[in-house]
Amino acid sequence: MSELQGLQLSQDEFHRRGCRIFGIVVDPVETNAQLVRDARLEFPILSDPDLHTIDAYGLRHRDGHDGRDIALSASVLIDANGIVRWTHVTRNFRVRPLPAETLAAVDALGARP
Amino acid sequence: MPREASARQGFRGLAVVSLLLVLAGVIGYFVVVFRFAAWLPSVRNDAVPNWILVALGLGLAILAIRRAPTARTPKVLLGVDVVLAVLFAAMLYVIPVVPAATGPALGASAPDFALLDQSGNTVRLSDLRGAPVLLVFYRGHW
Repeated sequence: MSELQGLQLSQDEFHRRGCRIFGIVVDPVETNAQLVRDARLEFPILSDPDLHTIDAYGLRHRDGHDGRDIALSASVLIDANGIVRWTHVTRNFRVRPLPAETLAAVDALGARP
Repeated sequence: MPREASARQGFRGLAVVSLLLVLAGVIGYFVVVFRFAAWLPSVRNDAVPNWILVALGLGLAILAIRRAPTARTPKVLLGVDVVLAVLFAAMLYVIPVVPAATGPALGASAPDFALLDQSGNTVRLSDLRGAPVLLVFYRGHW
């Protein structure tokens, strides 16, 4: 949650670089609608209740919360051609990449169209 | 004897301040995490100011014990400080540890998906070609 708010604070920086942000979570659409309203997020939150996408990215955390499977905290940066260029998967859910680190990774994509 | 009295006051004061510093470090961390983490992400990640407060608190308790080696209060407070520091370390470095995962391979094609956004619109990754995309997987909102 704080990570999403932090990204929102840096949203202009991502926008300037033409980089779009999407949150992905097991929560249902309604929960995400409320979160986007409450946290005034300007990027979408995608709902993956069946963990299909979370599995495709290898990020399932079994019994992660109250016996429920959830996503591991992770950031995945994909370039304009759909290639994975940078990832950050945390071993400690308290620790997330700083927006500055993520922006540096976006900058490192270089002048790809 | 005024000198002895002031030394006694001194060690008590130090011991109490030591506990207050440790409490400020620990409670301050959770205030940051719950209220201000978005603005202070490096404090959330590394808790450096909080550990400085905890270390200062432990140092003061040890100083208080050296000033009054026979007094009990500073020793009890040092014990409380140490317990708090250990609990703090557990909350930071043990409880939040999650299983290791590598995530998608670098240089590989990102797996496509079609998911509903918060308004119920389908978002397809393959429709987003032409610009970089940052996917932020997170645990949930509860």
